[in-house]
Amino acid sequence: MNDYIKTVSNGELILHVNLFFSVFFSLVSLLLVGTILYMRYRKLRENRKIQKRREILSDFMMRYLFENPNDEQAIEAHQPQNNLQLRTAVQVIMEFVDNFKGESLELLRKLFYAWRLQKYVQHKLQSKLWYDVAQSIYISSELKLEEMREHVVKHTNSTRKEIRQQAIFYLINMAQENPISFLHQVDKPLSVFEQIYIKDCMDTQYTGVIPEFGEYLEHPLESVQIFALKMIAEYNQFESIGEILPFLESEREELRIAAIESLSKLEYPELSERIEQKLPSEKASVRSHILRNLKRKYSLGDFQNLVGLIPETDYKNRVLHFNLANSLRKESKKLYI
Amino acid sequence: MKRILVVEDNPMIVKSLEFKLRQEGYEVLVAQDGRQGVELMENNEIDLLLTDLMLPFVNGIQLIEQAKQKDPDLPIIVLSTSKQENIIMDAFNLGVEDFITKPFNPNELSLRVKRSLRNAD
Repeated sequence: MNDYIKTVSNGELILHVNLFFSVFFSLVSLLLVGTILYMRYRKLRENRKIQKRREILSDFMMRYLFENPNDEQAIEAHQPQNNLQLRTAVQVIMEFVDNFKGESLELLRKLFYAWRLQKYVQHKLQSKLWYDVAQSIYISSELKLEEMREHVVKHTNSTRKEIRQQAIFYLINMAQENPISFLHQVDKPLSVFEQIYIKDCMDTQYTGVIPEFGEYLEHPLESVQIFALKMIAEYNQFESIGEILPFLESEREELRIAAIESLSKLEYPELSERIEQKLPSEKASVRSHILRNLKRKYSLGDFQNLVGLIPETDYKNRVLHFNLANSLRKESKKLYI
Repeated sequence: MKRILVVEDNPMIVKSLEFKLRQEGYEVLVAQDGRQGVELMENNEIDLLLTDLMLPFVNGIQLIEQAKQKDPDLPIIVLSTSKQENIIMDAFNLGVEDFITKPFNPNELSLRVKRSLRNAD
């Protein structure tokens, strides 16, 4: 060891550098391990505090819900004081909200307001973190917090689909009438999933009068127009047939397809005649929809005659026509037997 | 004192039901999974079984089967989120008395428990 120190102090640069880096990295490693251990300790302490707080709150809430909901002193004594207590209180209330309904749900809403948790939720609603925003909208929906509406409406055009979905859920869940009026403010295309989601929310959350979907046929977004076309057929809004007809001539092929499907479901009597004329000139993707719809209306003979209207170059639709004619033949045989 | 076995895997619901039913004057046994539920059922005489259908280890349907084998007259109430018609029908075919969907109203549940116990007497 003495020889080593002597060699180092005698001044070979490489040994000096070596010694310096050894000491430096040892210190960095120690610091890193120390920081990790400290952070772990802090996390464990925080988790213990949360657990303890959760137990205190859930014990209190049992008594509040099932024994004495009018004990103002107890409510005040459990008022969350800091951020961690606020977060835990919201979590515990939401666990109860998810499982209870009726008078208990009303009592939970009362407690939420008594603890002024709406301010915490409103603050989180303006957060830059998407999951905080989505969670706050979810809480607002479940507890039917009307005062959050103006903040939530802005999020229907969020870039995060999770936030958009929560906002849609909130607005439909809160609506007394016209649950999809928010679509007027939407400037981001609706995905197919969102279209299905809106329909599902209307069926499960909304109990008012079904809106007039014809109102949305003039919307600047094609996806909203397609959604409106589908919904008109879904809810049998025959009075909107006149507004659908111009879409058969639309420049956009998706809109033409949606109009054909919608009119077909509404059993519009002149549809077959109108779309048959279009067979030779239509795009192949629209032509297949026309063939499928005509198959439902035509007799075997009439349907077979359509082959002359399909251009010879459209091999795919000629095969489709052959298959559809075959299935029509089988169906008519069954009917005859 | 009537003894009720509650089998439910959500700790919050277990705690609430235990509190509510004790307050109503029942003796309450709780299990957080199907296996524990079977053990408690084998080692204790119970007057009513209140169970979820989606349970770890032994599911609700298996638990109901075992309960009915032990005591065909035991009143059983199912508390579940399941909306699958076939599962609900299976439960009723096994002799389940009542079916309550989550989220539930604790006061309504309490009334149904009272009614089931009265019918069983």
